[in-house]
Amino acid sequence: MSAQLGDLAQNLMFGFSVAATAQNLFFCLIGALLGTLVGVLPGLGPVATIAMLLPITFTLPPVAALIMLAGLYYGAQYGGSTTAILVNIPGESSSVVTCIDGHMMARNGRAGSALAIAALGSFFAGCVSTAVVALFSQPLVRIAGSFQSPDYFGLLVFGMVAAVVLAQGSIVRSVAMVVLGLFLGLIGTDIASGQTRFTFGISALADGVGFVPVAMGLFGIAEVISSLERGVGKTQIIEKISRLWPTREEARQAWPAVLRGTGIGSLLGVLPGGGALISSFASYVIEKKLAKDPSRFGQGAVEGVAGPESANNAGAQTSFIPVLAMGIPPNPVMALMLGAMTIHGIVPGPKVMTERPDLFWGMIASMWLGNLMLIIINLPLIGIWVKFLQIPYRWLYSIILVFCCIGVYTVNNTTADVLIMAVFGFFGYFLIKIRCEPAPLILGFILGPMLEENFRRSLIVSRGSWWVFLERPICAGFLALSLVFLLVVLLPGIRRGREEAFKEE
Amino acid sequence: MMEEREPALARRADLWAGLLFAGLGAFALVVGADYSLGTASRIGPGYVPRLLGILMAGLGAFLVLRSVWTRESIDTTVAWRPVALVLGSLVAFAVVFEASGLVPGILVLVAIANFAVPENRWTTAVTLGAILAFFAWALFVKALSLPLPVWFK
Repeated sequence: MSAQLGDLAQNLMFGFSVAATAQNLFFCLIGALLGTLVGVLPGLGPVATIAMLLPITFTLPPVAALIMLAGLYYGAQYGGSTTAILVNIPGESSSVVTCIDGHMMARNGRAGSALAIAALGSFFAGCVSTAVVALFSQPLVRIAGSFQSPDYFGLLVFGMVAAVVLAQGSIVRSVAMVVLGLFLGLIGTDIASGQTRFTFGISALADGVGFVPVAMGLFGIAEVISSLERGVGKTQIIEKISRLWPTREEARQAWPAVLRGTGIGSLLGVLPGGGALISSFASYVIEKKLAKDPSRFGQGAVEGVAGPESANNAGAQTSFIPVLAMGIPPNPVMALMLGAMTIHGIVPGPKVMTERPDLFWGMIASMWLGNLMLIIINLPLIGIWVKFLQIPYRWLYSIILVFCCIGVYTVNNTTADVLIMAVFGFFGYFLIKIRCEPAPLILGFILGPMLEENFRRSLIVSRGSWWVFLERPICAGFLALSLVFLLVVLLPGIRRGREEAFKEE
Repeated sequence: MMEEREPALARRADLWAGLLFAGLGAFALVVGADYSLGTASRIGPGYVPRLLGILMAGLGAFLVLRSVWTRESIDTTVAWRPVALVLGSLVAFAVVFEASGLVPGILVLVAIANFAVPENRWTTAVTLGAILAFFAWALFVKALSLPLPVWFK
């Protein structure tokens, strides 16, 4: 064990030596700044933010690009919290719970404390979960090395079931959304037979529908249309910030919540379909249950900010584990990060660690650096972010549209992707209308080709027998677990609890 | 979640979702009918689409049936102005960009999208378009040297 820890320390040192060059630190800083800047803007979640800013990493060498991406990612996460606390608009779904008590604190004149607690809690969670990522990626890579096609198939199915269970709203509709996503992922040329499927002779579709235009359409454009529909309203009321430091009393209340939040987030982040959103919800519910006086929640309870903010940052971080170890993204943001890595010629998965240790450990080190950058820039620069919050939405949406177009175009240098984004923008608006969550769709979309490939290979190995999925213990285990998840969530009692957990707003 | 005692059929969330998925499932089955299913041990390109088509159609049908007793209702009004102008601006960007480059593309996009908000005036469109075109040029073309065509060739 101690030898392993020694190894780990050595690897981390190596990672820091890769990441902490002056040039890379500079890119990390720029990434964190831009990520925060865009993440602060209301109505822009991390997926849209990262997709919009993706082109600025294109001309960088891979390591620098990854480090900048990490900065962007954490910046986008933090930015959302600032908006939630100061104007009561969640920049992203994982900030929804922060709105409740964070904004109440701000209205009671404790905006500075709320921001500081969110930032410090997130930083602490970031430090712990970086260590968790470093510690658990390596053994997981080893386990993943022994996985065969049926096992991957089982894992993918489990991932999708978990995404459905953890999604908001109707379960049947979420399942259908996953299936639709899987289907959309099949559009293009079948790698095994070379046949084009569902392309209707359109050459732009021959390579399949790109992830970025689909995600930008569903999460960016659809959101713009919905916001315009709700009305652009008057200028936001932004709460004043007095002192930027929590009182001793507040710190005392916050610490245990931060610790619990970090634990919950680190655990749930690894789960497929998990990540920041479910972590923050779970943490809020738990803090409320544990509180001596639950009625304080909703009135500006410190724990209601400290817990969920730590949890969502920890979850955001540990969701890198399945990506780094197995190349399987557990949520839409990670799918985007995976896509971004692929653009830079890095295919995440078990091989990265052995073949490109500089990338692997450099990335992990940059996570911690990204978090550190944020705490350094975020609190002192809060005044600047507030200025950006004051841009009226009736100008902002045009700016968002321009950046979406450029972002989508530059991935493959084709305007066809802009049109695909427009199509999915409309579809996304329709889905919001009929109350279908887009997150399961996007997960199915990204996992579709992997699922088909592993399904096909399994059947080749087993000579066409479906029993292969039950004969291998790992695969059978995942499938059994998926079934249990689905059955449990359909039980009336659990179902009601789940609805309540999501109705916390 | 909106729950009404007895929402009109046309406003039931499950009915709309059901029709959508049933339709898409049928689409997958019809279009995918020509793709080879392969054999049990060597599945063809049509195998997985067929499975997914059946699943989608089945789930869709179930949702349509379920909508008889589920109460969740949706808002069926559509904000046509933002829908048309936002999507139109994206299509216009693609077309103009293809023909004459980034700067004209941005100007046209903003000129159209701007009016998705009725109170916005031409002055906003022109100012915002000019600022954004300049900024995009300075950032993406000059600073990041991405291969974007700026003007007419």
